[in-house]
Amino acid sequence: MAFTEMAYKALQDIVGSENVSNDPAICQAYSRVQWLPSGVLQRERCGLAMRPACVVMPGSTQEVQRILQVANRYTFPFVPRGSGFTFSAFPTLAGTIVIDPKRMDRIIELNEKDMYAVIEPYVSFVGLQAEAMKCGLYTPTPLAGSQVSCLANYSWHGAYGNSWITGIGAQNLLGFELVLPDGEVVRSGSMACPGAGSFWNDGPGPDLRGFLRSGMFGHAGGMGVVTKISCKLWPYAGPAEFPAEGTANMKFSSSLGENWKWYMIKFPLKYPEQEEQELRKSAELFYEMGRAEIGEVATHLAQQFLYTYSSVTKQDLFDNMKNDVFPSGFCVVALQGKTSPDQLAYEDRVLHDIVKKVGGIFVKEDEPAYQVWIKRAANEWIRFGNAQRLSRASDCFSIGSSNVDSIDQIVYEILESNKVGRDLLKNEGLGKDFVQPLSMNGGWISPQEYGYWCLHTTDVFPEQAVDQCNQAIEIIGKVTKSQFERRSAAAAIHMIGPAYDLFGPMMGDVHLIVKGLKREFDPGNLSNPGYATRPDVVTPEELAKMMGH
Amino acid sequence: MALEKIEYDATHCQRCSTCKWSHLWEVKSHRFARNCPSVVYGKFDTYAAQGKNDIVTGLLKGELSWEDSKDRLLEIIYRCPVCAACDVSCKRVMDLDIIGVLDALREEACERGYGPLPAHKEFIQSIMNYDNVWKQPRNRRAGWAKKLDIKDLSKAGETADVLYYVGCTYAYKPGMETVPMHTAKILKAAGIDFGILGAKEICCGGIADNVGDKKSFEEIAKKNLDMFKATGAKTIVTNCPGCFMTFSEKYARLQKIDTEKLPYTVKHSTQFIAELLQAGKLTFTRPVDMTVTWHDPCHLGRRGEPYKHWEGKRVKFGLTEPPREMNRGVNGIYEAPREILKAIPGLRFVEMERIKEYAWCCGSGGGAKSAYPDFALATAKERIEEAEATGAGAIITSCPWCESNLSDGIDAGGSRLRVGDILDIAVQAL
Ligand SMILES: Cc1cc2nc3c(=O)[nH]c(=O)nc-3n(C[C@H](O)[C@H](O)[C@H](O)COP(=O)(O)OP(=O)(O)OC[C@H]3O[C@@H](n4cnc5c(N)ncnc54)[C@H](O)[C@@H]3O)c2cc1C
Repeated sequence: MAFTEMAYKALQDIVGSENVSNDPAICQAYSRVQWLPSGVLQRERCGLAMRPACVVMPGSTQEVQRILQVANRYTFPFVPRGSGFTFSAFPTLAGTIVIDPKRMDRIIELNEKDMYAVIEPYVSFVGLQAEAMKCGLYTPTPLAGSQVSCLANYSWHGAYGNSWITGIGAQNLLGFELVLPDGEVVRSGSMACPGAGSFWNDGPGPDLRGFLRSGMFGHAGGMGVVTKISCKLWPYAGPAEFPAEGTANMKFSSSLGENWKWYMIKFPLKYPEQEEQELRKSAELFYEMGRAEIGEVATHLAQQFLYTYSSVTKQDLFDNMKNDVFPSGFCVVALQGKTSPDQLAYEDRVLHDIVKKVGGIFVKEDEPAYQVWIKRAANEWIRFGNAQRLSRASDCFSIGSSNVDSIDQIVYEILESNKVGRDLLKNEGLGKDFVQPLSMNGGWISPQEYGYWCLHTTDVFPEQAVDQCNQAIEIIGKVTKSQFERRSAAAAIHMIGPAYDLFGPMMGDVHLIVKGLKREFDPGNLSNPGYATRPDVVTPEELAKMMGH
Repeated sequence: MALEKIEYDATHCQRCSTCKWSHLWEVKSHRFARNCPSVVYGKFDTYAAQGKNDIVTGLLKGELSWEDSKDRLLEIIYRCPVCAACDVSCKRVMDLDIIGVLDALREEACERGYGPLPAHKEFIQSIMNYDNVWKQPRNRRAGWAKKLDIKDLSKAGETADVLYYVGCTYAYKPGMETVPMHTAKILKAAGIDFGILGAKEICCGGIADNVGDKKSFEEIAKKNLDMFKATGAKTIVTNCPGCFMTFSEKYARLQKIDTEKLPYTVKHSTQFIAELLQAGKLTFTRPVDMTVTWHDPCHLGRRGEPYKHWEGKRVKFGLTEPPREMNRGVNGIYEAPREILKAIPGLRFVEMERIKEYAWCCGSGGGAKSAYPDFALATAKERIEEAEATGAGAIITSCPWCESNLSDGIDAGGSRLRVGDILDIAVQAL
């Protein structure tokens, strides 16, 4: 594999010399992911190999095709990216090029009637949300923040603040155009049929969603470059422009108008001693809400979410922790009167009945938790997510565990994961220098599609130091091992490279199918090659050892 | 070494790209959602604050050296108006001193003898030779004031309540002399006892600091501070946001004190006039039949915030000891010009999408216009398009650099919009 002077010239011919650069200073900005412990280690170990050989900015699908054809001709690897927030948007091998989509930023169509938008790769949730809201529609927004690429997000998994109704990214993907690793173009869903519109992925036309493996799932090798997607938009009865108070980091929007209502719900239990009961009660609440099919947002926020998302400064975050502003996790629910005020009033009554039934208590407006979360942060989940703030505590964080299952099983997974973490802290001192107690408490329960299924995450907050990041990886590994031993449907996302081979056999050998497809369509392994977390950060041997094999 | 001062800030950027977008409560359209002229023009991430953090990280870790790509590094560093939009956005989610990073990169370039750029050196040399950036003779500095009967405070024994500091561009740039003339007229109408420094007024030196030439800046600042002391000036009023920021923020930083500890108070003319309106010392009576929009100059707004001195260190988890109150661009001058416009009878005032601390920069600051005119022009054209979208007939501002760059943007884009200074309008309403 080589990226040669000739290859560079060929790229210049395609996009124009101003849209491609192999200058070390330019490429340096595409070589580092620091917020993630494995990113820190990866950078430490891979060093300059993470700096791309060049960065190229195509302006059209045709240019993308030609770039990939050149990649095949000269056999050099490529990594497409959206905004580059995730670890998998970085080269892991010397001689890789990065495809930056900044020149492809058009909202091609915003279809109010059929409620979808067709967009290019650099359209962010910032812009799409603004346009959609003007039409009484909105997109789900990843907590990662709306500055990321919609296309990159929908094409990987996409978890949202309002997944309660929207589900994950793939469920919002109504069609896409993909340039395969060899440069051929395929289209999915009705987008594949000229003139059919871009409203449906199940047909007419092939549904190729399972084929799409960019993003997180690019770890076993990506599958080319997505150049266009059609994404679903949802009914929205709030204001197009949010009435905001305050300035800069103290700017909040505490009202979404009369068609929206937020609630914070807690249980009269002692925390952390009664964490298990608290989580189980939350699950009960969600099951009941799902049964009644009410709500727009329903989620259980872990303490770490509450503190980090709602902080206005790092100091504020630590002060809030000291003052125990969020003494436990809380459930947060939003209702939206999409059809009429009566609908909202009805859902409000049902919610009150349910909360009473499960023994919950509505947090009062004058309680600090309500003031800090509902006033400051809640509406951000609708407009723009805000999990960039997750890094605020220590300027580095990682998902400690993550899983996809039924709500009750998710509760179990959180408890087990926290137990492993706490035992490691107590017995081996692992994580003692992390932000505590945030790193070992709570868990985000995110029920999807009226609780039909659920995902969770727990988090750890080390500093950006090799020793602490090593500890974080060890904790995550051991938590994963415990999941593995329980044969849970774990998604050990930050070790997905080698871990994929370990978990595949538990999931009907899906990894073999994925690898087979990859061999067929990208025999040279040019698209997102290597592992998101390179084997030399956590080798298969190291991982196997961590997992007790 | 300059970069070491901001090592924590640069190396702890999580590259989330928040620095590239306006505050999300404020975004009103896909078209005008971005905030960073540098990355919009340069497109590669490298031109955004995030990229500059990567550059610093690379330089500090020895992954990147100046020798690898000196010219490109200089372009990355200097093709930026240092407008601080990135800094304001970043601080919504993190506690990093992004402006500190941009400043340190320029200082580092100068320390190594690579910066400032030739176009900047010309300005600085002009200040050294002529006390102004336009290579003009000193004795023409107060040409605009001839026949206006204004006190010259540089003369022994002359005193006044207010020192009106004009600035190089208003003093010398043809066509812009109306601004000091109108300022004087307004101050007189309000009965203010004021004076100027006449031919003894010298450049504020802000431009030297902006491009990283700290040595020249110190030299110029010292002369000005001595002059202010000699005149006993307690209140300084200036029209130029560059001078305003230099006197209030940069001179305080240089002396390692808070702005409020300076021996004088600096007011931008819009601030001073808005106060006069509020106090009833000035009223606008004559209608002005225009629809206008207001362009917030960065040095008046985001960068016009008072300086809060901090000396300390980063401790565990990146907390600061002692706790550091960071500038966030919110305490700049935003309301005063709006109050003036709203006080003018008959004037219809409409806002653009990106305003106040989220305003799109005109593209000329930080030495960008002199070194990279194409970049400055493209950035101005973007602002003009945004202004046109409001339906206004004129874009009003209160900065000589913004005004002339926006005017170039209008000419280049064939826009029918007019550009003007707020005081040129206000004077019509007297
Ligand atoms: C603090 C934090 C919180 C987060 N929270 C969430 C969350 O709540 N929900 C959620 O869904 N995600 C979350 N994420 C993960 C991630 O940031 C987002 O999913 C985001 O959408 C990534 O978008 P991006 O534009 O930065 O993509 P990038 O990081 O640039 O790319 C992501 C992946 O997609 C691939 N890719 C990008 N564009 C293309 C293309 N055109 N064709 C093919 N492949 C492509 C890249 O190669 C890479 O593998 C979080 C991340 C962080 C750091």
